[in-house]
Amino acid sequence: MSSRSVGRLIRSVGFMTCVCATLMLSGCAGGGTGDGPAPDARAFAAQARKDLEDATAGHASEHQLTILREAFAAGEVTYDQAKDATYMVIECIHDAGGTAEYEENRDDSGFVIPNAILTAPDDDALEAMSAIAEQCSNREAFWVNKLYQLQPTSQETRDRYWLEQAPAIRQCLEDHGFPTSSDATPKELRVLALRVLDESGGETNCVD
Amino acid sequence: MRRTLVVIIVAVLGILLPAGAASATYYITGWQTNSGWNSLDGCSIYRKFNNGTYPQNYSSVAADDFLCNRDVGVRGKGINGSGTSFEYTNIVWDNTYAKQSRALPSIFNNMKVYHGDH
Repeated sequence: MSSRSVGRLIRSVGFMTCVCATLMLSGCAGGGTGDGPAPDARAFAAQARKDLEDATAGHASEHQLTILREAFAAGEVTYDQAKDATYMVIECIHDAGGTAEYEENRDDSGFVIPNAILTAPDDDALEAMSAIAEQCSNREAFWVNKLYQLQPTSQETRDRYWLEQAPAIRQCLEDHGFPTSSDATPKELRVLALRVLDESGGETNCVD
Repeated sequence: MRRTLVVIIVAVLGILLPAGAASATYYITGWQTNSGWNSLDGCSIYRKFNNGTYPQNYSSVAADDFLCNRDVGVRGKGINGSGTSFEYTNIVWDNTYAKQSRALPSIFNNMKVYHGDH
């Protein structure tokens, strides 16, 4: 085999490897119809693996790491696990002499996010506890919380909401004299609505 | 031929290993007090305070321009209706549009915006 042929072979194999790697990383391998895990499961596994690595490097508590390991094995982070991690943040803040309470955030789609709210009599007192509260959050909940919210099933809930909202956003923009492309996606409509909201100084609000 | 095989294996490993070993990167603003677009690591990020806009809630919002294809997060602080200062400790994350809200009257006057890949 000549050196030129070897070079061509290496380039071909390299290209094919890139194609295969891209397909695997984008969750398109086998078109989702093979024996392997579904694209959502693969996406979650990749997210969970990375968060577990980052949490370990970021000195997360053993409690948070245990939740991440259990979630990785189960294929999802549950609401109860996210809530459990959040209560650990509150306990950590209390142990450090601060005041915190549990509060849930429900976003527009109805998706519920456990949260901990640090409270203080004034801004100076809040500032004094802020760094400690952030340390508590990183130690006990940061990666669990992020994975809970960004896992495919959670994002599907939110994406479905914006898909439902798209016709209303489009109509609002059209009514205010901003033409929209007929093939604009829900995300594109939303960013246009945000641009319009900003440029109108808050007058034309088609977002919320 | 053996040398070719070694080169191919090295090339394949060189492509596949970094994908598994990469760690996430997050870009975080300091506390911000105004609304509008800004740039965070080269991506356009929109941020906004909603105060006194019930029933949309009292909230801080962050959204990327959907071109950066990364996650966006927001964490807000402010003063509630009874004059107590508050700060959320958990970040609200979304792949495009993150909104941290309170059902009770509150003035969100500061937010941190997070932007990261996953």
